[in-house]
Amino acid sequence: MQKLETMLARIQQILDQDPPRAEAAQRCQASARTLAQRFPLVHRSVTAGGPRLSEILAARKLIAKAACTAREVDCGIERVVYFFLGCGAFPEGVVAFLANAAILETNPATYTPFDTGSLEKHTCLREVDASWNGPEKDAFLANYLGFGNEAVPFASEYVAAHFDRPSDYVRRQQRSEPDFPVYHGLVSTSGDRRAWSIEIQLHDDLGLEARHLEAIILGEPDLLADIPDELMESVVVAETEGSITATIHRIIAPEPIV
Amino acid sequence: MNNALPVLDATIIGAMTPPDSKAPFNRASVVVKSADGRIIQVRAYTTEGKVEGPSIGEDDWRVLVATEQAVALPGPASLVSGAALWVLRPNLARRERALQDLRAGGVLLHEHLTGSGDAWLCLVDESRDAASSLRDRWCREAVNGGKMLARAGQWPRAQAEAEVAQAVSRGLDPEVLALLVLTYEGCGRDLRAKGILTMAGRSRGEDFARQVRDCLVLLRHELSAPVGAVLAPLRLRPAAAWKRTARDVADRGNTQALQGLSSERTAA
Repeated sequence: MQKLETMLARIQQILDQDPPRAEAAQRCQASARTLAQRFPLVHRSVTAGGPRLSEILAARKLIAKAACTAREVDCGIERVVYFFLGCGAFPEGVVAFLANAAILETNPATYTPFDTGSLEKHTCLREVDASWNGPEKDAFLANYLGFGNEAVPFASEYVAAHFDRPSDYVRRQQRSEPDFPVYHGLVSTSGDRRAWSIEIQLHDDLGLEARHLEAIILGEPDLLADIPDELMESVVVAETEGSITATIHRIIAPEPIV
Repeated sequence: MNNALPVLDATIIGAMTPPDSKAPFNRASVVVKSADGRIIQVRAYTTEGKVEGPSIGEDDWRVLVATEQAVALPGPASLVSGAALWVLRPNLARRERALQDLRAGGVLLHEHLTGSGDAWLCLVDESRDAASSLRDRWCREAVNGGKMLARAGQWPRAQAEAEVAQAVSRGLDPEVLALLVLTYEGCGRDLRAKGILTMAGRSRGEDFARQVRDCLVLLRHELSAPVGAVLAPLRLRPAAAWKRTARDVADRGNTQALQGLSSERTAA
């Protein structure tokens, strides 16, 4: 697992080789920092094979499951609840939980500037001749895995280094790329944003208490009936199930931030 | 990712709704299968006679049904443009009559099926105006029923009617939400009542939240007036119509209600 200084040094190395990009990063650094400070952790739920909303609410927690890949287990991640930081990069599920990033201060967690699951078969390296098999993927994950409590400071520098307008990190479409090539060199084979969106791996259950939640976004108003009284004021009802991602992005970055 | 299929090539195999729910009514998008085996969750019907929506793998569909996130029909049903599944649950007031309404309105595509927990699964053609009209009528009846029960101080029953109104309502409706708030307060569920008001603003913006609060003031006034008193009807209205409604109330000498509206506006 890598410390923040090591993670940021790699970004700085890329910026040092590209002065116009470094200038662009410098220009939006302050606004990227402000934006990242309000990034929530976004977990889309009620997907195929996952628990139903009524089950989640009965347990009053998002229950950590076994990590998706052995590669993560090898990095010390045994149980996990997956989130994306500051964006709705996972496109499925009729409910989205937006948790306060402050939970990263007190809960064991890690982060990566990509979807760990996508290493398996949905991504490759931009450098076409590079070998990309099990050992290389294992090393890649170990090299880009950071401590969860450092995810937000990392995000502000990462966003500044990759976007002309920081809010574009939040608002980019499912199939999209940053304005500048991703510093780690991973690209999605289908152009999916999960190859560059920051994933948080929370290593424990997350209790669904109002103090942890910025919002619960429902794709259907009839799901209101399932919401317990004490969580009702966290609820946002999206216009349609298809607009959950847009609703997430509206909450995080209602206006473009330059 | 979205995919498309011609309506004529597809049959309905199920819908995206859990077999049971606390809600008395659910509206669910149907899941269709093409002759070549592709499965799509219908998000939209196009004017070119196609359905659009995210594709679902055969295995994923089985998992969705097995984990009770979707219901499968016992056999495939023919698809028409506008088809959706309406689930009438046992806690839906006037459920038998609602089913008769669907039949009489000519919007029921097939005879209903009985699902888990005695839910009635009704494939409905939402492209017909009658389908929307029926939901609006059921909503109106539930609102009126809820108000009548609230006036009589029968708060749990009033709350049940308000929840029916919310479930059958096509989207968030300020008057329905106001009735929910009032009945939750009546049942001593102040936290939920407050939560509904917050949810309204967060979901549709401050103008919408103001409409809910205005409706609440008018509703309180209406319910506090003597039985048989002639009052301005409580109607859903756009924010721009607020002044006119306030004037109507004032013209009838309902100064208390007007003061309530004014203070709400000031607070907002």
